[in-house]
Amino acid sequence: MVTIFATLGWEPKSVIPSLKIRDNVEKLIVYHSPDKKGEDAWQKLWGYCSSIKLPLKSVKLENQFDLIKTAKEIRKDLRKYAGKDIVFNITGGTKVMSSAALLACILEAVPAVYCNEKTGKEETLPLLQIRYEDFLTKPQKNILTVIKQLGGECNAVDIAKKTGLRKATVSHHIKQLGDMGLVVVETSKKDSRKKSVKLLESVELLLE
Amino acid sequence: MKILITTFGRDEAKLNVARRDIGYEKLVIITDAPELDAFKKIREMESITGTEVELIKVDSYDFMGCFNKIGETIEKYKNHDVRFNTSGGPKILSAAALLMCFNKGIPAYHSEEKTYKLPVIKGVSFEEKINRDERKILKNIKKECEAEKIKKKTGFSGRKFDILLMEMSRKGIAKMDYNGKTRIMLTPIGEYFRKKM
Repeated sequence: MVTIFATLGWEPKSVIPSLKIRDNVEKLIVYHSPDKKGEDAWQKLWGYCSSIKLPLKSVKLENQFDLIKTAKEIRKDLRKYAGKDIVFNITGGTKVMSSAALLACILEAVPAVYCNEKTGKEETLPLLQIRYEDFLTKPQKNILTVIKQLGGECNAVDIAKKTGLRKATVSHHIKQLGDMGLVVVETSKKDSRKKSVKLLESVELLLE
Repeated sequence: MKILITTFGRDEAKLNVARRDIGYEKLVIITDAPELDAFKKIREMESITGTEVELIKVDSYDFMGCFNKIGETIEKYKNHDVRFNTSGGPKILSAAALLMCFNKGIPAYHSEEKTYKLPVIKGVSFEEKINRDERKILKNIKKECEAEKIKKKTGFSGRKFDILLMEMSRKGIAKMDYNGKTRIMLTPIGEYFRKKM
């Protein structure tokens, strides 16, 4: 049994091919905008799904213009289905909705598909089925988590205290994380003699 | 040199935000509509400061074509400081850019009204997750073929070969069809990696 996730635009036609080519669809979960056109599209899709008795769940995206918040919301839902057979159709909706859905799929290793406008057929996107956070080591993840817990910005001493690691070890990991583009090290606003480590907003997507 | 590669469509608003928020010395524009005014405006603006603008034309209905072209463009500038804005152009072009940035570990941004830096781990490539034995199998598959033939070609023992196939399937590189004789089929990402070898 497969659950299909989809972003929905103003017309439901981009979602339908994903329903038609699969056997045993268990449920359809669609993300749409809360405006009238989004609601209308949802109503049409609801009519179609009712006719084939397919359970349909609607998620209104209140932050549909905020990529990171939308990706976080979608990722949270995808995690509830971890280990189950799921697929995400990213064709419909605004660019932000579609990009946020793809971002969540990359991070959670969920197969993503889109409906080709020309052929009307579903195509699978080239995505490796490995959770993206698995590219980080355990100490790297720990340090990122600690920075998040400390409000997204702190210094190496704070991290050392919280993790129990030596300051030199923490500094080594911070340097690595900086080279990876996940944290920014800058002069502290409170004390210009100290350096502060700042977590990028989107990096929270890599953490539990 | 700082190279900003960007997807681009029918209006320049998002690219203007990216041009403001992301540093660059050269601009590479990937678009399906270079004949429109939007592209001409950008080129005109950049000519004021003498910034070089390179155009890469793609067919936005051909996802894999876009994906491969973006990959080639990133390869071309591999010795430079590349940053990528994925917000411009048709959705499918944006998706291809987003996937390729994660695939190759290229710093990626999404500029709308503000610029978001995406959580790409710089310098970490998906290719690293494919080991030597899996590469050996990939090299010998032509899109779809009989597992038994590949086993003979690669010389792996039965058990090891089965484990490798299972792992490739788990990673989403290949799919198996157990109807009668086992057949191996490459997924789009498997096909992409095979072509690169």
